[in-house]
Amino acid sequence: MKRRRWIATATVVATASAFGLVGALSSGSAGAQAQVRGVTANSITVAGLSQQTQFTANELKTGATAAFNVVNSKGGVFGRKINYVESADDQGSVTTALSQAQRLVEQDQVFAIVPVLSPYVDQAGPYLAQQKVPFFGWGIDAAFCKNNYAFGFTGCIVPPPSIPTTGTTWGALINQYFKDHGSPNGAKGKTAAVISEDNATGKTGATVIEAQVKKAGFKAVYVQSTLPPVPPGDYSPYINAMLTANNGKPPDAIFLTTSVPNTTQLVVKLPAAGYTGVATNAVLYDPRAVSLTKGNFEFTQFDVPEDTANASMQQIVKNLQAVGGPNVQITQGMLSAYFSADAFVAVLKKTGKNLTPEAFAAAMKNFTYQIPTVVGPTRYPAAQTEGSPCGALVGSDGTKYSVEVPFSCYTDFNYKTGQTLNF
Amino acid sequence: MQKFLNFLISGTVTGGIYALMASGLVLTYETSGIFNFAHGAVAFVTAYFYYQLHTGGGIPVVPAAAISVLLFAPALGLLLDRIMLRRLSTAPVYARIVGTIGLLVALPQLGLWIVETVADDVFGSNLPKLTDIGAGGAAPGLGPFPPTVFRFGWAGLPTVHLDSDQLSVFAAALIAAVVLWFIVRRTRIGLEMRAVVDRDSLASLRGINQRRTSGMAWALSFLLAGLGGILIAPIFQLNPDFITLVVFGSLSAVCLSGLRSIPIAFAGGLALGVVQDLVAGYGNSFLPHFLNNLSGFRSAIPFILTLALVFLIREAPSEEAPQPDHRAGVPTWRRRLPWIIGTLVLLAFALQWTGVPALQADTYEQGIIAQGIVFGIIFLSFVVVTGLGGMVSLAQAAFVVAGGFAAGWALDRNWGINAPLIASHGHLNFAIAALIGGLAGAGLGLLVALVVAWRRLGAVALAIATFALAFFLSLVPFDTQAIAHGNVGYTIPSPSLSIPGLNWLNHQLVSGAGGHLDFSQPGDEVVLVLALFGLVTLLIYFLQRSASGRAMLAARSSEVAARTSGLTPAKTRLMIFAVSAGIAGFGGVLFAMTTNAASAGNAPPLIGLIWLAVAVVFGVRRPGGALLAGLAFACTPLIFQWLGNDFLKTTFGGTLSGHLGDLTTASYFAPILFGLGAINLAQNPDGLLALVGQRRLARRQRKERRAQAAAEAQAPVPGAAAPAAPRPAVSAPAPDGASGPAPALQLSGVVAGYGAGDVLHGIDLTIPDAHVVALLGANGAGKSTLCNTASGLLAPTSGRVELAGRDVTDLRADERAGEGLLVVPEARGIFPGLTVEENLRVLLRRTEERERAYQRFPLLAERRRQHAGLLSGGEQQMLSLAPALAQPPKVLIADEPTLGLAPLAAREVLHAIEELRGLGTAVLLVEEKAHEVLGIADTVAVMELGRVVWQGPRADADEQRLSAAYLGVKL
Repeated sequence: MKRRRWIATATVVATASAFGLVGALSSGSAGAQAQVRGVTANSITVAGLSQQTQFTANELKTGATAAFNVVNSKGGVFGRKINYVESADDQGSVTTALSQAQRLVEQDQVFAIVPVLSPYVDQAGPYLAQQKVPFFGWGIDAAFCKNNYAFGFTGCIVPPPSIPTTGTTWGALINQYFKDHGSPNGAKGKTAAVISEDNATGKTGATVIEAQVKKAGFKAVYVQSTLPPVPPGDYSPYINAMLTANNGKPPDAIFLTTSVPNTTQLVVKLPAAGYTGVATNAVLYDPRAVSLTKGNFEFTQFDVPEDTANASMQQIVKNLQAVGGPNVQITQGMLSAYFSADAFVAVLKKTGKNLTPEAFAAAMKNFTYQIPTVVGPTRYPAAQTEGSPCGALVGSDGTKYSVEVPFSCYTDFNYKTGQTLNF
Repeated sequence: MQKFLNFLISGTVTGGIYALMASGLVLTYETSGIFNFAHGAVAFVTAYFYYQLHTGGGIPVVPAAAISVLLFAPALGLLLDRIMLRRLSTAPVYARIVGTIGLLVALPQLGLWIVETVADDVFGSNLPKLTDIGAGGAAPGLGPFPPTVFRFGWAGLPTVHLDSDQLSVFAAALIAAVVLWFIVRRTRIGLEMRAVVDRDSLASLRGINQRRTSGMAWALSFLLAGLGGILIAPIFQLNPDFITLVVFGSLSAVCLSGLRSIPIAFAGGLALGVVQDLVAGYGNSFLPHFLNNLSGFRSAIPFILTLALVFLIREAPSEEAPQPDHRAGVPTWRRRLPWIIGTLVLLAFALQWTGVPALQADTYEQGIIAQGIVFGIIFLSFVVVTGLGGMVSLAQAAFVVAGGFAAGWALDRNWGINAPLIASHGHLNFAIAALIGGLAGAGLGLLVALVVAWRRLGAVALAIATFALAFFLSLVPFDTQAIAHGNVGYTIPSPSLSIPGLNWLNHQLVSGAGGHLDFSQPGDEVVLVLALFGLVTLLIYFLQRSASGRAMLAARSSEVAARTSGLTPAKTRLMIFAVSAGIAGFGGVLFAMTTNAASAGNAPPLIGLIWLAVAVVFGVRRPGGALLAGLAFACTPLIFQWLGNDFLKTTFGGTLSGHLGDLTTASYFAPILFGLGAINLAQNPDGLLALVGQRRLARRQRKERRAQAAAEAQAPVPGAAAPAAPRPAVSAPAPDGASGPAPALQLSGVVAGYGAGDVLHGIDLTIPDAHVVALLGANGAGKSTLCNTASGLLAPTSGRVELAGRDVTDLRADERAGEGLLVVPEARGIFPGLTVEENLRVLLRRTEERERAYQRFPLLAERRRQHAGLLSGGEQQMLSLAPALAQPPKVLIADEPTLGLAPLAAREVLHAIEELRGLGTAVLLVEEKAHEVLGIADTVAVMELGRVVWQGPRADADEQRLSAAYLGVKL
């Protein structure tokens, strides 16, 4: 009986809060209506958004704060310090991403959303553009393409099928690897397999990577998007097919165009099945996966902390350590958050003292972001429809990563026509 | 050939995963009668616990695994059984399904919340988080990490590569299946579990303690799920959704077994592994070209198989008593008043009527409220399908997506027409497109319902089928570019409307509204969706009151009865399902309007389960519940955000309130509340809102009954016998003085009944040892109620029941059975699903006892291995009496033992009862027809309207007296 009464009380409280108490929410924000949303004479309010099972709030905050601290410690941008207020979670849902973006804009009154690390902003992206809210992040969602308020620090890297552009980068890096390891002709005359997942994204991915692989000079002997996105449990049919695709023999390179769960399994199973060629993926450069990826090659879009000879990179490492402590584990997510925030600061500087969303968007429109030898150049407006064709190849020996092919830039092309594009 | 063998071997080994999960699901169903949708959730929680012990606590593999699987999982099963699952086992079948879905929603989030929010964030412990596995993805298993790969190359066979994770799954699955099969089929507890599922009330009468069997069943089931979780986490990632999907991947094997046979489920699981490998390996050569190119088709194969095999599940048709409406008798205006006030408050807040900032919504909150009302419309589809139809559909999310796509397509297309109210410049009016969306949902629903009605699927099968359908739709059609319109989907523009009168009304309602209705403005949007909610509610109102609606309710109470009275439940169900899907589709269009996009991401399949949980919490019988559920679903994050961040932190300050804030702002928190709420409220069609009302109703009823009982105690007993002759002595053959032995069974002043009404009004009855008392009475006199009260299935409101002088009034049926009371209930005391031998084994544990029974009834010995349900009526009655003859009880209560038997068989039954009397048993023989039992009775008692109106020695029970008693005539 007592518990029942408790439930009844809880009902009343819940109903009351649904109807009445929400009202108190508005009291906080209504009064502080500034001239420009999120901007005062001495501050700029921003918040981050990510899918936190993949990019944690901590990675976001550490990366963004490290970049903001660099300018904030020097008095900010035109006297305005950047105030990073929150890391919102889209929970892997496009509708949650939209409502989180709405909350950050309409209630928290942020000027911009920095960083955005999420493949779920398809609905949030158009909304932010309509509300004139700039968002800076890693362009792993099509919402970063053809959007005047979106800025991907490496551009629009997963364009929708209607924009058939891609870079030659991944294929070119493997080509370079072969050249450096006893094959002066590189990928010429070599064979490659491309595997991706059994859904619309996977189908497009396979087409794109096949084009890259061919552009690099490989013969594509196996291109399939058949892997179930939920790991199948047994990979032998797929491995069997790939390892016999080159007239019964294994191909020289295997491009895993798969998401994290499948890649995690394949990087272990390919070497175990006796594969000695180059198995490469684009998702598993991560200090936590170093033992798994032993013998594999990871494609990254920017230079990595393991590149100890690169002073610019090591400065970034120091900036991150200043926020996260000397033992901070530097991940792709943290670096992406850093670059997003750094790019935002760069555009702020270009915009000038008179900061409005329109002025900021105008500055973004023709802007090139770059940290030489680390990331970019990412040239807008070309980056509205193209990704920056730069990257590095990293390898793991089971205990640590090392740079196999240093960070360098290649070209973009139309994967349907093969035509080279200017970037 | 080599390749084929290779796939056969590695597919079989991989199938171990599915085999383990499928046999666990079948075990749970077989022993608890519940299809556990939360099996994957249990697997995840156990794997997560293991991860914490092993990775977080540094405990070595073997002890960590042993603690997780052998202690943690069974203990969790026992705990959940104690606090919620036990009650579910007697609930209506839809409530059982909803209950486990609630568990599926709540359990993983609860685990994550306890560790990652409470322990890590609030108390600062350094337990590893799920994200610490990070991009590495794989969780620790029992084997080495990364897993060791073994190459198996036998002579003549191809080399097969299997890693340590795969092999440990297979070995564990095999051992688990054998142990399981042994426990269920060969042990006492297994027999008891199956007896309970077969006929739970009889199991109690046979002395089986259902609390114990239910606890054991869940402990075993959780153990199995936990073992599975630890084994598959390294193969599939430690992620609640993934593990749940793997478990649901095994549904086709579950269907293959018909939810009955563990070995078939196990074999089916192995076969599924092989099928998957063969499709992956040879798909290109044998699949037709278009299927091969159809993206998502291969991934959907487990769900397609499930849809194809779900018809193998045969459930007993369920009947449920309608739940009392706590608001019955409350005047209409009184019922509606709270809703009217609530709606006005909502409008005042949402449309900014007050002008006080704190008491009105900002634009963001307006948008959220509009979305909440749209969820309310979507949840109305549950009011139709579950509240009215008593069915559980897990495909509502798919209907929502389908509705959005249909409307998006209709709006996007240039129709080349230009007609007022229909289209302008070739583009359809939004209202028409919304109707098209609704029709698309309804059409899809009708398609499902046709199949369902055609095969007369039971509730569990329907839930499984709709679930598989939702996944199939999301993987195949909703992922093709042509239907989904690329990655982003269709853009749904907000409509606008300009009708002079409405414009004026809108202007009055919405502060700051423009000259016409512009639904891109959140205020106008709130008005629109609330009006549409009202329209759909009206539609449901008429549906409920229509002939079909009444037919549906009738069919739920008793399908057989409904059919005999000329109703066609199948057709009605069809319509209910289609209407519900149509409402969901229409809601999908509006949802797309609020997000400006129609895409599959609007409603992924698993969200349908959470929706159901939320809808159930607020009640699925009334539209008002749906509206509240919708608002709660949309506004909860907002409320908790405010509570955690603004209210607690700013009001109280300090770290403590900051930590308290963290508790509620965690994204795990809301699903926990909804899930736990759904489990607890699954049985209550009115949900949370009714708890108060129902408590009041129960209190009122209790008071009324007490008053009635008190009044009866004082009033003279009415009835035929009372006024004329003084009532005969309490017991006809009075015990030999006070010092003699106590009677075997004695009832004194027993008042009992069901729900609000009493059936027995003060029964006094005594049955001495070695004595047969025949209890006669017309249909409805209360004879069976008396049997139930004597046996302990029904607790009396007042009075005493004594067995051999011992007061057993407070003992449960199974405890009374232990005291030497044997009841043969109406319609045979057998377990139809168990074999003859197993039926005997329930009461006769020793072989020689069973042999004695076979000697007495040699016919039974011949049918030893047959299911008791297949025996003839006479044989069944022999089987129910056989244990008594082999091991005579103190008291036997037989409720109409000769009903429906051939004269020869009936005579044999009575003969057996005489034999028992000879062995010293006291017998209460309940009969409607007098002359058959008068031959063997020592004493006769006659019941009428809940009272014993006459009793005396058989010699006095002449025909005239009996018929007079039957007819209520004064003698």
